[in-house]
Amino acid sequence: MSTTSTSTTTQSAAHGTHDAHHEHHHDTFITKYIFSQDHKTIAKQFLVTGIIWAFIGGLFSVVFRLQLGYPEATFPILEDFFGHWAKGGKIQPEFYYALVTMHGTVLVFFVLTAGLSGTFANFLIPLQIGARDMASPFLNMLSYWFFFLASVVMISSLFVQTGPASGGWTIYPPLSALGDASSGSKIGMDLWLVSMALFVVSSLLGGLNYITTILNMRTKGMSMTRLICVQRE
Amino acid sequence: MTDFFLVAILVMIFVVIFQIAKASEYVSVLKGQEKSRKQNNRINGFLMMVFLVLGLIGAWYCNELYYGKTLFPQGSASVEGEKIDIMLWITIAVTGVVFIITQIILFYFGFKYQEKDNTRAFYFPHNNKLELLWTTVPAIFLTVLVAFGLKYWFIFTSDPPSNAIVVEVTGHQFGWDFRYPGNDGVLGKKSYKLYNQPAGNSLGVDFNDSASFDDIHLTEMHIPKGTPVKLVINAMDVIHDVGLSHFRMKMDAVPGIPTTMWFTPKYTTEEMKKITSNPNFVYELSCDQICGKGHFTMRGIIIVEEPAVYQAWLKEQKPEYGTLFPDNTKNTLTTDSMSKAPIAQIK
Repeated sequence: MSTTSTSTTTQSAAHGTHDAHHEHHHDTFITKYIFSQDHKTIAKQFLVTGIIWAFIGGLFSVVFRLQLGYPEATFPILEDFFGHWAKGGKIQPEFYYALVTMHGTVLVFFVLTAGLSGTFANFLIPLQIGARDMASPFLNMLSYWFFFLASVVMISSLFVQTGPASGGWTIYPPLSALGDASSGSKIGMDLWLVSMALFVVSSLLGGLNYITTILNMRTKGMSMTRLICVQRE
Repeated sequence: MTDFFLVAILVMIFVVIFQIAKASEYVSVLKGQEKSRKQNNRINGFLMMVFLVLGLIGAWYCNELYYGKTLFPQGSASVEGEKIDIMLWITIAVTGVVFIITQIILFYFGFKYQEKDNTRAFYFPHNNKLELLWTTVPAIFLTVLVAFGLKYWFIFTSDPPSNAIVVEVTGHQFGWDFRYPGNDGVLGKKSYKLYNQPAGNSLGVDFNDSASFDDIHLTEMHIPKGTPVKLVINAMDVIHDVGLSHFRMKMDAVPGIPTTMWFTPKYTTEEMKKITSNPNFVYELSCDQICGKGHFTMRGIIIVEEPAVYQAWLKEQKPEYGTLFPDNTKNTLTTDSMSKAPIAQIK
């Protein structure tokens, strides 16, 4: 009986805290789902954006591997989608290199870096170290929206007349620096750089947050040597 | 209209996938969440084993299918390349063994230690001995590999044996140029400022430098079998890469920073035709660094000949200076003041 009453007290206390916690936040749709400062929501935002990017990046590789696998064949349907980039149903060389470049860029930066670390780090770090949220929820929110902005700029580079960056995802100069050397090094390259600058800001804000959270926000008794590698139930 | 149908088909596919996912969710609700979760868990455990077996068979089968199409069975066509092959084989052997062991453990453990009602997971947070073992063993092995790699790198990029011939390779969008130093064995100086394609000086050779008078400029590379060949590698515009897969050699061509490597061809082109049973065989020089629109067209041809045939071929080649300035050749070879005349013409 006493056990039951204790647990009820604990529950009501917890409930009380929960209510008190909520009193300070009057979440509207926008603050809850869009400009959210909650680490789990931000993690899900990273996840969804990362998945969308993974589809786009995967599609790039399907298209250029179609050309690689069947160099002699023509696929008229590609011309319907890509216009002069796939004249006569054949992927044009510039477009092929643009696809390879964008595939690498998207997968390395937007999927592996932002999609994976943005999702898992944001979701799991507070849970694993016993913190309520990240050290700076505001920076965390900015981190996602800088990433979103970077995504918008990168997507827009796909639609410019001279095509997106096409010098390989490592963007070695002088190929990437001279517009005369490759058509992808014109406005497409500028947009790539702008997008990457925004992405770097996003990563920096995210990284700062991860480190600060782990160093300062660990729960009582969670020393650095007790931090766990994997989540357990 | 076609576009509309395409988009409509894509949307329909998504809808179908969504509906299937939704239906299976309802089924699991009807069956009872817990029961269905346990069943899924068992199915996943079984699929782990299926994936392991099919995956390993697939890896073996791909090797059976495609090994013959790689350049491995031909062996290295250069003496130095044999060392690269050995390094590659050692790497493949060790990483292959590790790959197979870890994959078996990964999937088998997934199957064996799946959730069961009567067993509890063992919490195993830390083990210093294990940490030490799986850190030091790979570290030592990788260090050995890197040490061998560095050793060969220093050999291939250092000075070749004294009997080596020198060929300058220049990459540009999109092709390769070769320059031989002629009888004096010295390549004439070059400068990007002297580049003048319309006047014929496509490499920017300084024709005031007497070493350039006997230099031979070609678009095909001939080299003798059994003699070390040193390549001096340049690029005119963007970064290219001299990829010689048959010789197991590769080196970046960077504008403004000449790079070098040397190797000794083992077989002539004719011998390789027999080795590969391919009457059309040629040694290829491919650009291995994405360099723009025509990157895929940057294929150079290398012809390896018996030394005597090579020497005879070399004697027939005319120096570039002679072809560019047929009238001034003799004079400029003797007087320095005259040598300035052709450069003015070029400019």
